[in-house]
Amino acid sequence: MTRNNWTIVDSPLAWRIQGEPAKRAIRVTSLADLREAAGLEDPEIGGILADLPWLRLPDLEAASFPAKPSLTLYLGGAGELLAYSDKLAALKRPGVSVFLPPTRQGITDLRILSSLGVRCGILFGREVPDWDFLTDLLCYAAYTKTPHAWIEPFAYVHANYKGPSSQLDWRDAYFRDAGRGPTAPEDAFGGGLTACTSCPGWRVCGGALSAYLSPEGAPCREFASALLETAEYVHAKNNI
Amino acid sequence: MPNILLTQRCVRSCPYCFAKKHMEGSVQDECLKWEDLIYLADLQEIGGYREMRFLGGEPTLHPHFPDFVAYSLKRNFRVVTFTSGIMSDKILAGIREIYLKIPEARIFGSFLCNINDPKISPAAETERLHLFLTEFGKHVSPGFNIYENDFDLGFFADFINRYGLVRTLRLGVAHPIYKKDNSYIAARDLAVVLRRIASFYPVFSRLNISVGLDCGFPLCGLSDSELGVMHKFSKGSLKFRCEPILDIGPDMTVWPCFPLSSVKVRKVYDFNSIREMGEYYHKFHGEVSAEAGGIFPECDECFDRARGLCSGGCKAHILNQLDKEHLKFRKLNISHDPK
Repeated sequence: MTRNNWTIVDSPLAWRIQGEPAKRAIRVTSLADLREAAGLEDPEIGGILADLPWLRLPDLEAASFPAKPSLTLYLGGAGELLAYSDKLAALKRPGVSVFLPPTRQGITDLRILSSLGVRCGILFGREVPDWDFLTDLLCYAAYTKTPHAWIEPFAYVHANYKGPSSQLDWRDAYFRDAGRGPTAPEDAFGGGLTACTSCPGWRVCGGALSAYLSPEGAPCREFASALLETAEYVHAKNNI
Repeated sequence: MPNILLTQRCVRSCPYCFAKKHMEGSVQDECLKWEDLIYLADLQEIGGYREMRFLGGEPTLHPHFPDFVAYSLKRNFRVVTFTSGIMSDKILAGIREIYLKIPEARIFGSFLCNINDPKISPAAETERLHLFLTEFGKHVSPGFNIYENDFDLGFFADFINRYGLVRTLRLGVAHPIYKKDNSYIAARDLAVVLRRIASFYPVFSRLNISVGLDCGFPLCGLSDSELGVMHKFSKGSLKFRCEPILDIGPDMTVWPCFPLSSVKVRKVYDFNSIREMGEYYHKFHGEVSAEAGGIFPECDECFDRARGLCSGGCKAHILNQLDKEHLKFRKLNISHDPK
């Protein structure tokens, strides 16, 4: 089904793993389309993916938040907290999540949102991540004792890592939409998998970060290794 | 609960400023980062503390001040801001925007405003303060720092009535900053200061204005009747304490209080909890007290101090005296400002 600029995307595999029926989602790319999609009542549609990289949270209106299916927001940034603080109640509703790029500001915004109880995630693919900041956010997600909302793909990895025999691809936590996000491992620069498969974090990354490889090396390696460490920590903690 | 310094920047240059001596050795532009604010909020939440106390410099100069306040309120902290009240229209608007959305009960006493004597304040500062107090006066607890013996508190009667300020005046006294050269009230003059405070009681009591004494005053030097006046003046909350306050800088260093801001400076990350932080600095206070009971020689044998009625005055006074006397100093193993 298409309407205007809508496309259908496959909902995350993770949803099915969690026992939800396989549903599809509508991908919209404008505020007007989002408003219209939010008013839909179609049992076949499991959610709305609003891909609005120029938008910030203060720009959203109450009408953008559907009463039902889920709403995933892909934004360019969160904006100033004071400007979107009146939307926090809506953002914390079940099924709503906010994804931001892994720039320094984006990562700071994700930490703020998570600490305020807003489900959120990292939008890989468009910008080069600040790897140190990203690793710091990972540590926050894994080790902080105070309640905070999940941050993808960390939450997916931490929930699904079952020990040394695990082999995860955290892209399963995202909508499958051709042309976006990291490419498959076999597309990594040089044409070979060596850079990925020799990485300590391979078991939890599965090459999802391979798009960031370059002839100079693998800037994602330390982060992926840290992701494995946190996964092992969470697994051990939950299996004492 | 610790005080959190959002920034070292300030709008004033108060002659008594404790923070100034600390700021002189720091990066002036340093501001608390979002990640560190969240870390401190988590630390407080885990420890069961529900109040965020923002200081500076002038905390409202922090580029994210309104967002920091909004964030803390969203996490159900009470927010108290120690401010000069001197702020730009933009910052005032930001504060207005936050507090318009908050129930009145949550913002009562949200500001602790240190007000200097208008006779010595520049006109521009007084004008900015007037704008702030006009708008937020009923949420402001006034404060005053005593750094000269012949201070005047009379103007507070007018300020409190005119702007509807909270009717308790917080009085601090300029103590020496250990190992620094600052203006302060000498130990021998503290009783003079207390008597002068008490002299305002007849006028202030008629206006139902009470006082709250900050730390470091010694109990001795006042007669029992003078103590009785002070007891009534403070509505029964008179205390003669010197305890660690815990000040956390924008660079996440922590120290026991501003007079001791160069002593036992550590990183917040060195501790697992606020409680552990407090215990560390209480232990240090105990070590100082074991070496010298208080700011006067008589403190060692003082019955009131032994009964816990008085801490023996400010520890910074004591350390300075010990320094001068070169007595048992090494046993304290004091580490100075690592910077």
